[in-house]
Amino acid sequence: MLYYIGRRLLQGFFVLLLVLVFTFTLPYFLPHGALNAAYFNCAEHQTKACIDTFANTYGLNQPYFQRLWHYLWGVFIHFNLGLSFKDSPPQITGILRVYIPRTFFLALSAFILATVVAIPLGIYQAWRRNRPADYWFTGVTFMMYATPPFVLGFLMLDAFAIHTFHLPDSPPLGVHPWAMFTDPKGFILPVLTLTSLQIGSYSRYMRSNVIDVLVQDYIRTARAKGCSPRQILMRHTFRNAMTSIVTVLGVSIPGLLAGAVITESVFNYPGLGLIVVQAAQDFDTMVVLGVTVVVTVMAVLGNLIADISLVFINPRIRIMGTEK
Amino acid sequence: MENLQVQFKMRTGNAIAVDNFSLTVESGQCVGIVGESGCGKSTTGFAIMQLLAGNGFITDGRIVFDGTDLATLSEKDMQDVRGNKIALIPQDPLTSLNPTTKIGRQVGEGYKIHRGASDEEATKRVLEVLEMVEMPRPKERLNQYPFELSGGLRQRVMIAMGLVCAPSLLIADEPTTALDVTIQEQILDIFDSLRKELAMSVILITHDMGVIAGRTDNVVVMYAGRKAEENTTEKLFATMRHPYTQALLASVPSIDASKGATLRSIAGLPPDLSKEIMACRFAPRCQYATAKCHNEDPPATVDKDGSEYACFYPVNGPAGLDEVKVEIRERTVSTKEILRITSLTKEFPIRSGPLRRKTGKVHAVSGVSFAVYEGETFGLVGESGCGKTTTGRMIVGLEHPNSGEIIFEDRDVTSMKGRATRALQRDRQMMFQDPYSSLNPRMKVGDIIREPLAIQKVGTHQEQVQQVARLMTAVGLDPASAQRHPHEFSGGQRQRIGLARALALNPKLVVADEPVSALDVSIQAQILNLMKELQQDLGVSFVMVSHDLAVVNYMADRIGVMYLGEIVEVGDSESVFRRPAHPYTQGLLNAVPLPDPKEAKNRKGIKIEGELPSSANPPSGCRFRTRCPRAQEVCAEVAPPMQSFGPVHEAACYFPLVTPVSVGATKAVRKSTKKSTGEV
Repeated sequence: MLYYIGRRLLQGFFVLLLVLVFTFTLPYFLPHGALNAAYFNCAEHQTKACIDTFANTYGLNQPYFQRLWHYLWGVFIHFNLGLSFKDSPPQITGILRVYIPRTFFLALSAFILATVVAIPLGIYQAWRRNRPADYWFTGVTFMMYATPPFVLGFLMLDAFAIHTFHLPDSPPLGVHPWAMFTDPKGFILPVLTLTSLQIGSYSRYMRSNVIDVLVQDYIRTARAKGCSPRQILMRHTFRNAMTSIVTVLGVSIPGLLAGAVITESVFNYPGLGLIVVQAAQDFDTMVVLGVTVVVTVMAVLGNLIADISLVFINPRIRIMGTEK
Repeated sequence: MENLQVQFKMRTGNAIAVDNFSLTVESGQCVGIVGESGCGKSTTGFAIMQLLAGNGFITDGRIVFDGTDLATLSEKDMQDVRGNKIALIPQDPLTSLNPTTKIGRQVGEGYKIHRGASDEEATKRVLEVLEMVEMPRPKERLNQYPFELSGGLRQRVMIAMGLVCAPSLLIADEPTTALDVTIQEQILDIFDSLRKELAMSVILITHDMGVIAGRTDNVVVMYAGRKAEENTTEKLFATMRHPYTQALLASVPSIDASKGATLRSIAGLPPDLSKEIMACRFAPRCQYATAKCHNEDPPATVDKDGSEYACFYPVNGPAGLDEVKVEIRERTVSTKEILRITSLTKEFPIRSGPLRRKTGKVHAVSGVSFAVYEGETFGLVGESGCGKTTTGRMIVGLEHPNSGEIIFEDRDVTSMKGRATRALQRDRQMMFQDPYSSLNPRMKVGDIIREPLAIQKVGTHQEQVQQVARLMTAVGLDPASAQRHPHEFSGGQRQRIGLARALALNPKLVVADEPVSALDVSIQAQILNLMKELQQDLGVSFVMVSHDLAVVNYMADRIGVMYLGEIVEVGDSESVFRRPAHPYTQGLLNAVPLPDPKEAKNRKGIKIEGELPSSANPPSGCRFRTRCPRAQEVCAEVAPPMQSFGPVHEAACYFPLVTPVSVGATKAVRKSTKKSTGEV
């Protein structure tokens, strides 16, 4: 078990390393290469002096491998993500410390809410499959799945902030990241927007997983034993259906963060999404790189948590260390 | 069961899967239902339990159990009957257990549901029933998961689950089809003793006439949803009246069968039940059918023997020798070796830990040597997991041995890789076990057969297409169906396609891996006969890998018996099957169910107990010693060497069942034993 987690962490480390090297290298393909940011920032007076000063300040004129080594050393040894070209304070780690919790709590609450709704819904639909209720929910969940978050976000704003209920159109600004718990009203619409997207995909998966399980021979065995429909669902179906949904949940985390980014801009909420969009527009490559690190770590952790939960759900992995 | 009718709703209309079927099971009786697949046997079983698939309905008749008509019970009342008074043991123990629930809980669940037992009471009862089914180390099993057990042990778990509430009727649906013969024998013995101990009635559903013969009181032969014949087991086998019963029995390959005889098969397939049939259902496949049979439905008749049958022209007993076309085909087998393998070894690593390091290995094949002569069939038999398939795959180059040598046509082909093998591959082809998954469902049959020709660039496209047509005709398929996809063919036809593909390049050697194990006996016979015929015409050599001794006996000139990665006995099939030297061979032979009630009941001899040991950690010395009734201390020390028992007959055993041929040979053996002991 510990071996298993150890192996997964090691794999995760290499994934992070690869992603970092790749994203770090990308700006070198821009016009002027690594100096691109310098040219951008000296836009008005592109004098050699301005560019040299800028490049020297941020070490942009160092050789590629030296910069890369410094950066990786900083990230992995000092948890230092480097300097932003723009903001003050320029320490990216400091900037992210403010923005990460906002996005994290937004995404997490959407994730929990979606799971809690989608899994029972999927089971219910599978049990009543090909009957009116199933068709009905299938239609609704497909719509949730297919609607882009910004469309849904604006519809929500129009309906619940302007015409009815008069909910706040954006979460409270400038307050501490825990505002979600002290002043939840402003978070209702963004969380709902993000949730509905996830419900659509999770419940589709759950429905088809449960249907796959229900046609298995061991379900017939359970019926032959005299199990009631309820016992069949709870004792023989649920756990077996969970083994495949858990992986899906883990893999969906990057998508959830991507959804959060868009939702944040619709609701004007300063999270990771807003700063990454801003940074990209300003050629603030180090900030983009910093956010990439965060998202990669989240994705790796999401998968790791999914894999660890699988160990508890699927005895085969627990005992044999493998699925096969 | 009275006049039972079961219909399945299909897109094309309703199919009547079971029609006008009546059956009586007395308390304590064992009734067998036998027939080909798709004849409604399992459907009948499920109908009793009301476990038909969602589109299946009982449309007529009554199922009276202890005075209650089960067909009229509500789902809720039926839940009280299922697992409580009637239990079902399904066909496939590998898929019929919940993979994420512990054995103890699964077995005890029914007891808790029906008896309202507490956890402790249930556990106590589970241990009782696990002991009843002779489960080794029952306490350990409680906390194990199904995947930790072998197929045979899982089937014991299934039976234990069925017994937990002491039901008065047990429906066993092909309970041993997925198991090895040795394990099948053990499981059937358990059924027998339980039935006597618990005075339980059993409905045994099977396609295997051999299983029926030794174990049942009464037999019902089912064909196309109807009862073809019913009688007591002994009378049915001795004086059957329905031609279908006769044909079914005649298509079972027997270990005692004389070599040259052609196995009889039943031409064609069971009818499509979604169309109404106003004639004898068997008529299109019956050799005695007349115009009357094609126009009228024969009514059920009861003769003075108590036999009930539905036929206008009943037969009287099994097909006699005069009726079987005896064709003694003397094949001249040359003495030229086409293939010789020497000390072939294959190990698969077991990996674990964070870096997936090799922590052990499975010894799939450990030092196998034999030769195959031009134009002969070499049979490779043994239980599943003995390495026979791996050996076959290494011969055709699908797997590379860790050590040893493969000489094919005087050339060393052991570890050839890449381009160099392509030309050589031509002469060694493989025929696969599963006709369903070994054909690409998206390809047309003509293209499937043509593919080897295209890969090897044999002739022009036009010539290849012509060759495909010739091949299809040769294997008994209509060349016009080349444009169809595999799913449009039946299992037997698909196996013909597989054979045509294997023969496309006119190979010198074909490795056939369990070519008929997925087919019904009636179809099996067709394929085996076809393979024999083509061998005659083409002079191709076969290596026939099979767990079915009767099939190998019918096909093979020489036989190698494998146990846990080693050949324990090899020789001409006559010697190996008539005078086996190795106790394992004898045990395997004894486990084959005989399609003759009297012989089956009087059989004595070596019984192989227990399970195949793990090949990751095989026993020291003779690998069979852990299950061998003759094993002594010496067997655990040094592996016995091969000794000669005839001109071409060898076996590796210290205590063989027949005397080795020459004293000199024995001395040499002793010498080598001493020598190797010294080395150890």
